[in-house]
Amino acid sequence: MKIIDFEIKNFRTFKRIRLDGLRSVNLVAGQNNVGKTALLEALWQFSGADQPDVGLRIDQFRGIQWIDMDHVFRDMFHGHDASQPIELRATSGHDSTQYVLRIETLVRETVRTPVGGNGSAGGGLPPIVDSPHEIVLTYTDSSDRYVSRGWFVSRMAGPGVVQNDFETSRERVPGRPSGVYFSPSHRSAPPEDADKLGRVQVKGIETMVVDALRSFEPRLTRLVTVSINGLPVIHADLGLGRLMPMGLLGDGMNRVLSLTLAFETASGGMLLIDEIENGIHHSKLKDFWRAISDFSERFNVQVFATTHSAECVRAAHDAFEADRHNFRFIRLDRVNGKTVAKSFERNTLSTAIEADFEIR
Amino acid sequence: MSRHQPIRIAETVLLLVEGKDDEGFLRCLCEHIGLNGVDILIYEGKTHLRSYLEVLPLLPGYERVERIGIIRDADEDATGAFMSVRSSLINAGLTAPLQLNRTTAAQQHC
Repeated sequence: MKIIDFEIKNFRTFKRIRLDGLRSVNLVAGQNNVGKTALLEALWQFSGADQPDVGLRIDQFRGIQWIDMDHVFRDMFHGHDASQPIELRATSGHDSTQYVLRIETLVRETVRTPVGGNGSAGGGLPPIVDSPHEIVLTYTDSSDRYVSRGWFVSRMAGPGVVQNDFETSRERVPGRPSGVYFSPSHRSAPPEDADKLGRVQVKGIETMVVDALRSFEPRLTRLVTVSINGLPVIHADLGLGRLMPMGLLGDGMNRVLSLTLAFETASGGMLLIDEIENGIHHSKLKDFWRAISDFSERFNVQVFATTHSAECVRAAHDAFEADRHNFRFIRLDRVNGKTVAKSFERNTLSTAIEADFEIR
Repeated sequence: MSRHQPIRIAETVLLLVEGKDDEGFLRCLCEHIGLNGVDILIYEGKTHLRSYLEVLPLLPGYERVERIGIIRDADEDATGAFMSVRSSLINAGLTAPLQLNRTTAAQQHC
């Protein structure tokens, strides 16, 4: 499902923001702390409409440790005020169907069982201390409604040992678009990428990945998965008479490999890439964007990426010249204390670039 | 070594001019008469004014702009030049003066 607009209410820094005219590939720029990553997080949460734990995974990416479980989800809400629900709305570009994900925290109706001083409680049952709050995700489209819930429990795993868990009750949303989030420092585990490469090879489109990497390493002829100590590891054939583990090549090349393989995972859904230019030399950015365009089309994936680089914006603008209807540049800006989205048509972006205006 | 810096809107008054000569002249004039708080921007010729005005509201710092002045060669037809500028302003959603040599109160931008 590709979306043509997206509205966020009450999520992180956004009291309300709306993005219109979205395309297959969307590049978002803006100053630090304006909400670029929060926008990707909102899209990721939207794509995880039946996954109450997405908010926790978002916090993990941000390096946030959960100290006070009752407040874990409050960080998702604008102004840390969970009394108003989060609303994420999108319109499908396919049939104009409106999808709404509503997120709220409610007080659980279950009775809290106090933990005894010796770690036991009455009735002989393992004592449970549950968080009083649960997170509730309600996803609606034109005809159906799905509700998923998540909550924390703390169990006594042994004398004096507390084990924290996050439990969910999920109502699976059929046809839910998959979303893959790529953090600025993302580096996949070798077996994970090898697994994805295997799936790409089965589909007979491995050459797409090799072609994308060849603009970074022209000697590359093929990728081979080799099992070492039982672990599959992707190797590159650079014509050196010996295969090179990908890990020995540059970070940028490994990031591009993981990124191109992530399209397979995100097939039919969204790929959310924070600071897309990381690790990529400016002279390779145009080829990189062409590869993103090809992969987006081949796997039917809608891309949302952020950048701080003017070179990256210019390269994307150039790369999509022949494919101009599939690219949109959006600048997030803080105006009168509110974050607003400013969407650039191709001709306005051309003018801004030619006039050498600040667009990052 | 100086580092290239992209153009930013920093002032509340924008003066848009056709080329570098106009910019140089007006910059010196502003200095001479002690006029501060004006960003002088080059729109690279009358054919680019329309697209230049379209992009201005999308730029950071535009929200603080209170007034925009546009300087353009009248060529052989002052009224035609005025109407062309007026059309470009309206196209960009900006308030346009109704008559030559008359100012119009600016409306809220963005």
